[in-house]
Amino acid sequence: MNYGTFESLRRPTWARLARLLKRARDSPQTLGYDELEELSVVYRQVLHDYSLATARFPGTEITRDLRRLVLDATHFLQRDSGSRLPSLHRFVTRDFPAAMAKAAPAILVAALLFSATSLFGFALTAQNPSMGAYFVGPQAVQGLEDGELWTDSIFAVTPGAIASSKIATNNLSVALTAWGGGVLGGLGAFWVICLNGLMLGSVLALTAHYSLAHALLEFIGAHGPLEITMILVTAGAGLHIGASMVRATDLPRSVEMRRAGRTGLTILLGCLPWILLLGFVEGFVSPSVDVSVTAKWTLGFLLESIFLFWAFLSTLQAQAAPAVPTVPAAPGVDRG
Amino acid sequence: MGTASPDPSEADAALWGAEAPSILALDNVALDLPLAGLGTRSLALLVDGVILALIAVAWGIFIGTLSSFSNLSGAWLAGIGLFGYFLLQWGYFSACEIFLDGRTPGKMALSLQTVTHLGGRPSVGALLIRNLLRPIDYVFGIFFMALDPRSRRLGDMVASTLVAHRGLDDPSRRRLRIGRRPESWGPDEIALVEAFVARAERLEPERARYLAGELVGWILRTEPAFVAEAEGDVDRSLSPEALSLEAQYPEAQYPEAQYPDALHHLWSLLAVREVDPAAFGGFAGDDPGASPDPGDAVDREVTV
Repeated sequence: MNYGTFESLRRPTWARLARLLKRARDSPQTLGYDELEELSVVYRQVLHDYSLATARFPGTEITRDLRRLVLDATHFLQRDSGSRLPSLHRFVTRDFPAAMAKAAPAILVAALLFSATSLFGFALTAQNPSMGAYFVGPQAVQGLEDGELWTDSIFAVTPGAIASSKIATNNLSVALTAWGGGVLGGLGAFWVICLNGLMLGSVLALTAHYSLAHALLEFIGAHGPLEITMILVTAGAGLHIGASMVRATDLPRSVEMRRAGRTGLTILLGCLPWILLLGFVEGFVSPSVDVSVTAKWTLGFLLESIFLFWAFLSTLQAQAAPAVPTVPAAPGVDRG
Repeated sequence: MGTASPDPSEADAALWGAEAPSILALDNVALDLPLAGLGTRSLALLVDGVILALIAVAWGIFIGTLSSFSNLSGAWLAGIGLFGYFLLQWGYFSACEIFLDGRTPGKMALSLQTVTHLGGRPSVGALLIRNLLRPIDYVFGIFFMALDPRSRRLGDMVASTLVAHRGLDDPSRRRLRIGRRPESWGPDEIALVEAFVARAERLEPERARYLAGELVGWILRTEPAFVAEAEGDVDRSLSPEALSLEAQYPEAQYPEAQYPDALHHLWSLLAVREVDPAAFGGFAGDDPGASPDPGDAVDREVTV
């Protein structure tokens, strides 16, 4: 086909797409159903015109103009699946528990790793208490020798509001780093888990050495259990992403990574509000002398159980009703 | 045609990066998405960094002023201030990209946009993923971007997004279009003449007239049938010398001083006309009923 003929035959179609696209962008409510259908048909035709133009008339103005039109139309028409945010109800009842079920193996690995490293840290510091100074700092050790927990001095001078904000942002940063560190083949998440495990074990051993373990346990009772769970869950989500980059499956890694990324994001978003809440608990409840130890531990236990129940909701439901057959997704179809 | 003909596709390749793999659109049509490289994206990040620093300073001043006017206690204000910095640090890029159609102010300044691996609009989730992984990429991303043929950093890989140039050529520029050309011209000839027509107004006038003279001479020599057909349409106000150039200048060398009408002559030969500058990609302003077939115009000229 000759350049001039091509242009005169096809230009009306290009103009039609450009005009429909402009209307769809500026005032989508004025487009009728037939026009929407026409938009998709015309887009496909122009895509093929562009393909022909690149092959037959490379470098010409029409090819350039068509490319701009096609790129623009593609950007407008080809949305990611699931472009809209899910409703809060759907997120709470379905998306988050489903994501937790998917990442459960990675979270279990994180929990085992954490237990192992905290035992190791405990044993290490119990054998050699000077190791503990490495984790809590020499000043805190000096305080411990005087029979005082370092948290006492912190909260004596820092008001709860600032402490809450500091703790919440710090914990959020740790969670985000543990999660994000997953993209390094899981190494970042691995590092965060091991470091925190070592720290916890070592600090416990150190306070036990100075006979202050009861004070520490009293302090961490309200926020500690869930805070550790939060680190393990976000780091587990990071490990889940990391595993998708390393593991070989039937699907291309790009698809696996995209899916794991969505799962990981859902878990992270589900955890962030809890971490904020924990900041308040740790800033106001934990250091308070008015709240009894029993109340603190009850609060901690409650928070932990509510979260775990929610997180493993779909697993519980699946076990309650195992008879319902599920339709497996067709291989190669990405519902990302 | 002449040996010095520029290859527009080669120029294109140099501009977009010859090795950049194209993306596949519907029906596996290869889309030549203009991907942004490490340099452009780093510049955009620099712009965003400056803006981020300015916002941080403004936030500090705001909290400071608030403390002298409100009855909120200093501790609460400090807490809110700290949390604001945290939100700014982790939320600026995500919020900008979500609400500004895949662009941050820095990306806007450099005409960049985040798109999906298919060139479409990314979901909120994808934009969150790529921006929450940003701190990791500040350390490791540069290596991935330098090595990846599509300049993706880790966040882009997990979110399956790309960063592309957008609006590189300004569609609002005055556009001239060729209404008639010899049948025998291939894409190279068409692209050459189109490139000249598009740029003629931005060249030095002497240079433009000289090049137009060369092109007229080349057309007169190689396409006598086209010229004969087009002559009927050629502007009669041209000097008679200009219309009988072939006889005067057989060597097709027309110094500007000897041929002041060259641009005008070329424009009438090719029936160059202006198109609506507001038309998107030169298409939207078209009247679907009007046939741009140049043949009609020539026929009408002849019958007059």
